[in-house]
Amino acid sequence: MRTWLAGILSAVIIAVIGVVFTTWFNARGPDAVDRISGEPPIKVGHVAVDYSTQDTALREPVTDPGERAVLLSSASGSRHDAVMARHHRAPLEKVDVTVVLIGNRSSLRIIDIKPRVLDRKSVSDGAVLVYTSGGEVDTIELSADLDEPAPRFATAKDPDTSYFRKKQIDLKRGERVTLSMSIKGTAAYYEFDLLVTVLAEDRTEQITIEGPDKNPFRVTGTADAYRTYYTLSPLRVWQPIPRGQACVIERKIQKTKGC
Amino acid sequence: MLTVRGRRRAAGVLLAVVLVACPAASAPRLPLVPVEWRAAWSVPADTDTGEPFFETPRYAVSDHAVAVATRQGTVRIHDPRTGELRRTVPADPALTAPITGVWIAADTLVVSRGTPDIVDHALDGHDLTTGAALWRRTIAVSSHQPRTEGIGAYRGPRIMVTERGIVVLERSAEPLDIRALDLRTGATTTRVTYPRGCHLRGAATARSVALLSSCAGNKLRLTSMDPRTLRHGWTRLLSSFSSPPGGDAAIRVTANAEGYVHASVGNDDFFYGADGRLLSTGPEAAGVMNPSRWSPPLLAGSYSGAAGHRGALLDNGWPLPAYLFSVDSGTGRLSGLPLDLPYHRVSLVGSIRGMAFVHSDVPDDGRITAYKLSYGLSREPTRFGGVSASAWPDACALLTGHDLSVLADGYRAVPGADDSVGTEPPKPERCDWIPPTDDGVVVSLSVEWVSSSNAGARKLFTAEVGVIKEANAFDPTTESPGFLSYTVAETNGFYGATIINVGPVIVRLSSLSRQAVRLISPLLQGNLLAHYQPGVRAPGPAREGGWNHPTDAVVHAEPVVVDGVVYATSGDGTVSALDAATGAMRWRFQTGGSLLFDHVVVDGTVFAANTSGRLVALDAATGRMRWSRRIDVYSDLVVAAGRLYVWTRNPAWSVSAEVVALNGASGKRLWSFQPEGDVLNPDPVLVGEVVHVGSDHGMVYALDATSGAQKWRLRAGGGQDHTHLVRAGGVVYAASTDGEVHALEGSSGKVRWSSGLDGPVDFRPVVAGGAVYLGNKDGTTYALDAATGTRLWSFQTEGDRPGFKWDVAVAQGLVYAGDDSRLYALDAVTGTVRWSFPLGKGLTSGPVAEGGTIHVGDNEGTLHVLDAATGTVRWSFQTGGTIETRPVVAGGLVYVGGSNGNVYALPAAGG
Repeated sequence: MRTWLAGILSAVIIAVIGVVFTTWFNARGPDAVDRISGEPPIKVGHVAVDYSTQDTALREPVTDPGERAVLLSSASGSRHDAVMARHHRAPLEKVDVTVVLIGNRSSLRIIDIKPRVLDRKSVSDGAVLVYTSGGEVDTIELSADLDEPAPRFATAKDPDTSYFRKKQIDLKRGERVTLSMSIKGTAAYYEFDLLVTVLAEDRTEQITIEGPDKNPFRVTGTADAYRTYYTLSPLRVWQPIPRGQACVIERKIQKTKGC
Repeated sequence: MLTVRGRRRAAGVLLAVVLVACPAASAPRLPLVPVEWRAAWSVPADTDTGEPFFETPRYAVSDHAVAVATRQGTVRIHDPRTGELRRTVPADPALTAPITGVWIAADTLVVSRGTPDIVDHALDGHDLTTGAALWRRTIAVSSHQPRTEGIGAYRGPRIMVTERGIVVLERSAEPLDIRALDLRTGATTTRVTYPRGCHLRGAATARSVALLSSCAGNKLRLTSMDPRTLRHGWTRLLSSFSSPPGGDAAIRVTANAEGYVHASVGNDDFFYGADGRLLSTGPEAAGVMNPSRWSPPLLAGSYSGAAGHRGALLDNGWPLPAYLFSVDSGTGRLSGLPLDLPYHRVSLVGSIRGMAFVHSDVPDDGRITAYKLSYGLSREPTRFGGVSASAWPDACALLTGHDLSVLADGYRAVPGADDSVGTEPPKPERCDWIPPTDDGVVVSLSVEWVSSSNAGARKLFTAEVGVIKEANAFDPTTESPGFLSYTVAETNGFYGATIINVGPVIVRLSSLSRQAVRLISPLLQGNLLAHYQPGVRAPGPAREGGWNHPTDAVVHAEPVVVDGVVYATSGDGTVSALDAATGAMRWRFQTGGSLLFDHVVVDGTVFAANTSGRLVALDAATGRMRWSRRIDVYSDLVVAAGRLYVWTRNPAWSVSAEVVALNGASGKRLWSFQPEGDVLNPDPVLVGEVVHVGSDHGMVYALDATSGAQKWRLRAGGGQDHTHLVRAGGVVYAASTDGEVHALEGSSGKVRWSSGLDGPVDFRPVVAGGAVYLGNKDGTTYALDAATGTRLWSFQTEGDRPGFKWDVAVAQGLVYAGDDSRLYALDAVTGTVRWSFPLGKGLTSGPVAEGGTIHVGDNEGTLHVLDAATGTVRWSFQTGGTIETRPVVAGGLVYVGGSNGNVYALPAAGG
């Protein structure tokens, strides 16, 4: 009889422990496991920089014959991007960044995102690639200015107030948020990343978002003159042009001393 | 019971069966797969694919018939398998409105007739078998297009016909009323109003209607609707980041008869089966694979577009042929097989088992073509249309560095785009030849298609040439069978290209330099002939005599011929000096901006102003720059007595302008004069040391040529009137848009006479043979006595075409004036018509009288040279684009500039 009772009691205790554990595990377990295993509270699903519709500058002219051939040809994708990356391609005066963040805890809050300047040099003057479409400019909600001493994101409607001081982003596990941000930089050439502060389970953690291909994001001010000028030809390939022509077709360059 | 002999026989038979069966059983099965669409039959189809507002089809397909609407209002019924004409449903004599739609559902033919500007459309039901009329009713289909942002709207076919009934969207703006009609009686079965705030698109399957809606709150829904009851069947929510916040036109839906639906939201695509099952969210995710389970085609289009590589290649259209795409019902992947027609002029009409029907809108050859699906064992990628991928040539091997050396030594070949469309060919299909220095030009080459037969390639090439000629200016001087060079105008400039067909191969060459295209294309054609048709020589262009010079943009300014040299400018910014007899280049100067205004050549100096704010003076003998000045010129240049006069504006968008006088030798600014009010650049007119300028406020100003000081001014028209000036001897004739005409003494401004016309004057007058000729936008020509202002006669024609430019030429007692459709030779004394000559869609260049002939260009780019006395055609020449300049006749040649970038020199005696 006692054995029976002990058995039943054990089963009940095990069941209760099981239920409690299951409940706890369902609620917090994955978070605890992720925390213990060092998983970040958010994952970066996608990072992209839009170079397609912006003027960009290179730090050095493209002089290597092989690289020059790739730059001037319709060779797209990886070969072209590799040449651009080697020359530290940076959009002129502002860079538009799209980031997709994915929640990696049952509940979390993004309480701040700010650009962190990693390197600051004189503006790039090796080459400028002038985009001439004249298409519509996308309206991007969040923007930051690296020329400021402590750059932070704000909205166009309320540029004096940090966006994340008034508003934070709540995410659940697996939930996604797409952020389109515009980062300005006119006084220098900047390399930067984005520092995300996340609150999860009453703990704050910081996650760094790097640019595509693990490179830093880049943006540069406009130089007074460039060593080489290019524009997109009617055949949609880059075509060398004289400075005078660049002065005529691009407003940003028009304002420089070189024009 | 079998005997022993019988047993042996039976055993033998059994053994034979086993022996025969075993190898068959053990051999790997080679299932037949779709490999090719073969053209089975085709018929002319000359009506458009649909009114833009109604988007209703003019062609219909069912298992039993193919219906083709005609311009005459009849409907031809063809056998779908053979193309045989079974019957023709006659036009309705009581209803002259054109056919706006044709449908076949079950055994009923439905025809709609109407015009976009009239709401009521006639809808007829016919028995498909007999053609007998079943019913007729009127439906209201408003063509009003909503323009207000945020208001729900319907875009798509306004009438959709299915086996279960007819659905009519009566309005394209809210409230969106949907009416259902019975197919066999035309009676209304039900009617609903769609909820407000939604943007709708619709498409019909055989038994249902698919509605794609984008409603407030970014809710995207795809709904299958019963055409009889208008009740919803299945509904699917679509998730897309491309959904525009307020809804709008970025959503599209297409469907085929079997119920497969393709919904498109921005760049996202969704493919559904007839039961509403999501098959794939491609095409990028779906990819384009070889067909295995072939559903009836759902789409026709370019391979690169369907493969999700939008923008990766020029025009999103590589390779050249159209493909018919199906959705594999099992995997959701797309399958595509090519046709023998260019991708940009093809639409899918419908399909039946094993056949597809395609409308091709090739210029002057619109057709419905029935294609039969053929099966085979081929495992080649379907992208290549049954041709082994290894048969495609290496694009970089079609030219050599030696070929490119005609441009410069040291060109380097770069294989083309590395993220091509789906299945990679083993060799690059595109190649860019990069010049050794930055002042060279890139030459690009792409293999557009390799056909399974020479005839297939020729058909595709011929259709593409028709499309190219319709959309672009081309070069008739180099055209030959299998060879066409043309000029493409993009928003940021021009480029030249040549499309070449040799044997089964179609290749395209392009470059920003038309001269490079002209030099390299024949070499490329020769290389292709050596490989694919050894021993065959390239057929040369037919035309002989004269010459032409290719520039890289439109030639806007009149060529100037001085001392055996032609000075020509181009929108590409170049000033060229060409030998007048041979066209050989003497020199060339790049100004760095487009040249639109007429240049002048005076005393050994060429003056030219570009639109980028640069005015240059060049040595006419060497092309060396004498001086350059930054000034925004907005007029033709006028040079007299060592001074250059131009109108300038600063900033460029300013409505006010000033006349600036510059020293012709140094470019130094001498003086400027800014009249009151707006001025739209009437060219200054000089009489001795007095500069006369007109205005936009009825005033004529006379300025001292040395100082720019105002000597006098005269009101020649009303406060809002434009004044046009012309000089003859010492007299300046001023005409204004209110019809006032004055003859002034150029030095003093004294009015010799004034006259009034009963119509406006819109162009600079012409003085010749003792008469002043004036004209307006309506095409009316007035003649006044130059000495007295007495009105001699007027001649009214039918003008008012946008861009119409009045001009006259006077010679041998005749006045030549054109209008929208004809050139008239008028008696200079009486104004009566002596003869007239048809000019198609109107006059664009000239008339210019010279040597007993009249030179005139028509709106379709043909230069006509007519006998001045009789109007008979001496010769004519198709320039390949529009004629942009007045003909200039000098030294036995006629010079004109064209929109294709050519400067033509044509023998005056016979082009």
